[in-house]
Amino acid sequence: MAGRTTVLCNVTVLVDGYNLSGACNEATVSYQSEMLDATTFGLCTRVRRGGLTTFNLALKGFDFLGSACSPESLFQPIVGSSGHMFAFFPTTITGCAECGYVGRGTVESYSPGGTVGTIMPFTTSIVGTGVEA
Amino acid sequence: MGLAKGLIRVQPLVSVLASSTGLTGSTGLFVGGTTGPMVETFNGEVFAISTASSTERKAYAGLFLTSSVDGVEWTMKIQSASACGFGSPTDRFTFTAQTCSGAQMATPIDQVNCGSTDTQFYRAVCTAAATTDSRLGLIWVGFN
Repeated sequence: MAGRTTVLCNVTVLVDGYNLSGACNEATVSYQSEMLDATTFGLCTRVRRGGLTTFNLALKGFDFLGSACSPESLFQPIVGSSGHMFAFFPTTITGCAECGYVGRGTVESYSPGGTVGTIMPFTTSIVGTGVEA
Repeated sequence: MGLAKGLIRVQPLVSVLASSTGLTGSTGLFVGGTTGPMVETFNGEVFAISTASSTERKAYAGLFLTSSVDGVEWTMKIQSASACGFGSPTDRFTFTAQTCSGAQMATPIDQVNCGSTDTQFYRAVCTAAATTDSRLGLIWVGFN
C-alpha cells in the first residue's frame, strides 16, 4: 500500500486566533453522513442509505486557568456562538505538500474538570455549521 | 460526494506557527525558523495544483494569525499565475487588513478551471505596515 503511517506527535490545532497545539493531547475531525433507514417490509436485513453530511472537531487537553491564551479563555465565552474557524493538521507543517482540514462551526460544548489528582483536563466540540465562508 | 459544506481539505501556503521571528523574512519564506531579513513584504511558498486539468473546481482560502500583539496592520492576499515565477500574477483572494490575532476565510471562488493558464500556481503575499512587527500565523488554500 502506498502512503505513509502518520504518528500524531506534532498536530497543529488552531481555533480562531489561538494555537492550541500545546494544550491538546487529542484532536479528531469527524466527517460523517447520516445513515437513513430505508428498510421496507419483506426484507430481513436493515438497509441504510447515506444522508446529509456533518462534521465536527473534538478536542481534549489540559487547561491553564488564568492564562490569556488558555482553552478556557477561548472557549468559555463562545459556547453556542457560530462562525468560529478551526484548522487541523496531523503533522508538522513542512511545506505545501502537507494536508489538513479547515472548517467553520459552532462551539457546542466546553467541559473543564476531571478526577482527583489529575491535571485539569478539558474537552470541547466544534460542530460544523454547513456554511462555506 | 465531496466533503461536507464548510469542511475543506487544505494546503498551507505560509506557516509560521512556532518561530520566534514570526511572519517576517525574505521571499520564499515558508515554515517557521526563518532567519531571513525582516522586510515589509514577503511572498510565501508557491503551491502548484498537482494535476492541471480542465476540471473546474472551487477554490477556498483563509488565514489564522495567532500572535496577540495589536496595532500593526497586516495585509494579506493570495495570487495565482501561469508560471511559478509569478511574472504577471492575478490577485485571487484578498483579506481584510488584520491588526490583531484572529482568523479569516475569503469568499470562495466558483468554477476555478485548473487547466487554465493563470490558475495553476498559487502563493500568499503578506505586507506589514511596520518592519518592526512580526506575527505567527498560517495562510492556506484548498480546492474541492
